[in-house]
Amino acid sequence: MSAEPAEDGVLVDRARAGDRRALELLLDRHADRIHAVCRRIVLDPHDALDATQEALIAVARGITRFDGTARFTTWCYRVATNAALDELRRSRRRPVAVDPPLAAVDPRDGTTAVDARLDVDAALATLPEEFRVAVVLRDLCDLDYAEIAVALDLPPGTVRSRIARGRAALAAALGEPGTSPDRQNEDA
Amino acid sequence: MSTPSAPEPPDARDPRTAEWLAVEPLDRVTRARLVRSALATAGDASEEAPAAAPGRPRLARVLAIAAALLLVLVVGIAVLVPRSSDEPTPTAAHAPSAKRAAPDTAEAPASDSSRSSGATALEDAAPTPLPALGALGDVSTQALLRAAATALRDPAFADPSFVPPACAVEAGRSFGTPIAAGTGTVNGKPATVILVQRPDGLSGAIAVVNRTCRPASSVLFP
Repeated sequence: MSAEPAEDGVLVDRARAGDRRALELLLDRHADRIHAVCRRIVLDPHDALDATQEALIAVARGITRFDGTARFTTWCYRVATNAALDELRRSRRRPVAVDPPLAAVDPRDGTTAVDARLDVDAALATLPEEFRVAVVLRDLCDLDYAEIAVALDLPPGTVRSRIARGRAALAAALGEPGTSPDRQNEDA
Repeated sequence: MSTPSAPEPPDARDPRTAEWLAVEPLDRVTRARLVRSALATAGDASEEAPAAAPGRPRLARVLAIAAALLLVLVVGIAVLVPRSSDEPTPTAAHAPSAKRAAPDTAEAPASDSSRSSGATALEDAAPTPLPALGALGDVSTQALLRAAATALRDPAFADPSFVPPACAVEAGRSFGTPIAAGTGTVNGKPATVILVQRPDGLSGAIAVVNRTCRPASSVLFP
């Protein structure tokens, strides 16, 4: 269980020293995680692939600046979040939509696995972007509140309330009972 | 009924939400393509790839690079001096480098050291032309590239006489099968846009700066 972080550390050191193969292994190992973050923030699958590509490029370019104060995985998530938010901004300025909007899907009538995925996409699309990002970083990436606060440059209290409200909104959109309402007040 | 167990810590991950948010992993081909393209685009992040000697000390690497540069200098002088005295045709000097560029495809965009130094990549054009799609304007950003590449797919623009730079075609091959090419600019610099078809059914486009042969941006679309 502790082998993987150690291996990450070794690969990071080698990549920072210019070992291209080590960098390739690192990117390959973390590509799925990065894609997952982009997919859940951007929502559109094709835009998510674009964001994933940009995030991987940013990791490859920035590996020499990674100082090891955070876990490499945490740093990757931060890079992926920034790439996904950039992609969201770009997609809003894009004149032509490639795919039909996901929000058209009713989130409650699906039964198959594909329907379930659409459910989640549609439900996530109803969440304000800032709630979505906070929930993704906490519950998908398993970052703690302090790490999310640093990644998003927000006070921890704001992170906490965004996560609580995001979870509740997501549960409501999926027709599930919400999460603890006592944590649903925005505190700055 | 009520809870004898310890209350959940306030900052705990919510397993139910985590389950909702889970994303299927990328397929192997897509992941490999994304990684390869990132490495090619990042390019200068790691100049050399000593996979066989990962722990080599920095001094040894510097010495190896210096020795390689010295060797290139000596060979360059040895080739250029006799030729400039009695060989007036400059095309002969280009022939070997063009041949060298042709066979390898996958890693080509990243290997800057094998590129022509100073000369534009347009000089070593690929021998096989691609259908040309004209001048596409500014393709500096993914959005611009996507818009341009979408227009690119209109076959009415095709002109079979266009021969894109070899390095641009190689960059396209790292992304998919090149099917058409156009010209454009990236931050004001002349660039080539290669449109590719991928085995998974998606199309893609990659913009390559002509002078440096470096991919500037890439997009995928259905």
